Amino acid sequence: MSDHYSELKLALSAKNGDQAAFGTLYNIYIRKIYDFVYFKTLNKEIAEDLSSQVFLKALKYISSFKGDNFSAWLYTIARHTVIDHYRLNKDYKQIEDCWDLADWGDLSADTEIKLLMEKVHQAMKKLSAADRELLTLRLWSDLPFKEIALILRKKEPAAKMAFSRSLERLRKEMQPLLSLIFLLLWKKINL
Amino acid sequence: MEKDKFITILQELYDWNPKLRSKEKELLGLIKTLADSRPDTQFDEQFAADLKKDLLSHRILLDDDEGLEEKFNLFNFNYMRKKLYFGLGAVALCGVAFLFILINKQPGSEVSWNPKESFSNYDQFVKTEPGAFGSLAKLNQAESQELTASNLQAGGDTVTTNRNNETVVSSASAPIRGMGGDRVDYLKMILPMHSFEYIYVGEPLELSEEEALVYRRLKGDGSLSHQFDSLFAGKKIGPLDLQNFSGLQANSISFNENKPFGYSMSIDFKEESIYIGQNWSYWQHEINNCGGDQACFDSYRLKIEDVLSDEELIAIADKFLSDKKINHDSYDEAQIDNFWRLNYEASQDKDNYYIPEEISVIYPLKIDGQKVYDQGGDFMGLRVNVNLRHKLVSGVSNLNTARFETSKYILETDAEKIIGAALKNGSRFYYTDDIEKVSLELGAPSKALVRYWRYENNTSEELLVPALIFPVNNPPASYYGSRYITIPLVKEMLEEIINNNSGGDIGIMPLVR
Repeated sequence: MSDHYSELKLALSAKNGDQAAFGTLYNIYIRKIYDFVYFKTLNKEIAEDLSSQVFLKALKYISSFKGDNFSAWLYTIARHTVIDHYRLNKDYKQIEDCWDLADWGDLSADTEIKLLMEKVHQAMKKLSAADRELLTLRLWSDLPFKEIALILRKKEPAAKMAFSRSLERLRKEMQPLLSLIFLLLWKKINL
Repeated sequence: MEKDKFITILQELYDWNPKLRSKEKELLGLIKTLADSRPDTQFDEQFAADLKKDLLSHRILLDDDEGLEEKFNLFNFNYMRKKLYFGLGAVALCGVAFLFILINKQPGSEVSWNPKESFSNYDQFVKTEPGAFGSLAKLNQAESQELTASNLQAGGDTVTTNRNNETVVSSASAPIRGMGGDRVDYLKMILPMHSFEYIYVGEPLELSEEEALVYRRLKGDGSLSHQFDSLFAGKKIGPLDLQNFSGLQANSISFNENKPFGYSMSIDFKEESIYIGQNWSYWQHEINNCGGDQACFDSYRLKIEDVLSDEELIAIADKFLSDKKINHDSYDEAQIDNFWRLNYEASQDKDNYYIPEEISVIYPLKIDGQKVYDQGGDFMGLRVNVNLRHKLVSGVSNLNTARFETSKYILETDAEKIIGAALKNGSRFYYTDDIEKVSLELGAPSKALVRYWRYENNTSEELLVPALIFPVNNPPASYYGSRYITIPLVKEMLEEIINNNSGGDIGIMPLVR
């Protein structure tokens, strides 16, 4: 049974009032949605509050779920919940995530890697929120392009193109670091 | 495993643009670096467990409907959870009290409570002074404001939907849904985007009625619950002595029919609404036994030929209402919600299209002889879901009392203004992407009552307003938007649309409204 299809069945059961089905969907998605929100807020408390809202909304509106992709539906709610969060906060109306505001915590115990990660995040900060969203959806949330396209209301090739361009922009930002990246990669591969 | 992921990403990119192969080394480095820089999200398992517990209880809590959006706007889950606990306590209190009554009920004694009788007081209208409901001008705005809170936005910009009171136990608000799916249903779908504009092609309008009644629904005044309240007031239930509490009032009650294909029933006294659904444990769900067997799973998928005819669906729904003696005098003749067929017909891959297990039969609500619609122009009414697999009714929702206050309001009679508002309303969105522009024709409208919501002081009011409903005549196959444009005839509401864009905000949104 494919994940997508079984999730759809669960979603339809939940739609019909099956709380156990909703509970199963919750188990599947709570971590994913929390992480997704965290990537945009970089704050544990806010991520918990917003992901709580996401599931409350999902529970409230599951009875009218008519799509054929629960995952995309849920991520869309999550995405808009974060956008709402910033738009309803008058200080942050112009932003869609909080990378500009974030203070990154411990990234890695390995000093060398930590340094690199900080640089990567510095480079990420220079990208647009849209670029960051694409990159994190694919690489951190591990969503396939097909689903990313649904969430961002793009066609799949357009999502791939945008991803490729985001990568290219990141590459430019990280140009000075590339040699370090390859060095680390080489070390890691040979460990 | 991780390596496979990177290779998959690379392959996907090559499929899209083979030239990228020449940059493989660089791409791989970037992708891998970025993937490795995924931050620790500090996910707390305890938080997840607590939230799940709250959520699954919240389904009941929604009955008390103190404005979920209000809570959301507070953006303070701790606050929300405190309210949850209070609510849960209240619900538990009701549940325990009811159990106590059942357990202690003497043989032959009678609980002087009759939901059927109480819910059969249809068509009650209380006349009030003209304009008694205050200004209606902001009703259009209330619609868009609620949407902001209700989570479904396109591209982050405000889109419109009604405050959806989606049936079931979870919804304390009036659970009337539109036939063909409420707007919120459309919005929840991920859809292609188009730019579109409206052109009026109907006959010239002749509007002579200068005033008409607006209806405000009466509900939740305790008249339904008070008999039940008295049954447990002052009783001691285990360690809980209700004598020590005052002002107790039942918010909701539920029953389960514990037998094969039994039902769960929930009665919401505050919203004066009844919901009947499957008692899930007693319905056969063979598909749950498939485990990971895709073939087994596929064997249970319904096919288009499994869909019953409209006549068969209506017959099943009619029989259920008749057998259960559910009064539906206030509702019109049954119609089928065939919204799913629009998507099915538009689907390129019909063999793999998911055929719904349930189809809704709608009995449109009629007030004073006028049919009632939602703001998407879809029928509102009693919804009876028929399970195609078992050929049984699996749910009934929107079985509400229909008690209303009425008040006269001045109507707009200038046809030009009304058509202008319809065109503006329909064409209010523009798009930033390079997308196809579509012209849609609006046909001659029909007059009806349309439901609007007003939210004030944490309470919601349902208002039925005379309006014109313009059909979209030529929706293309790819069009998933509303088939109707509704324009209120109440002068102050129309003025608000025309002058303040409240019904016609310029925004960015998908082809759905």
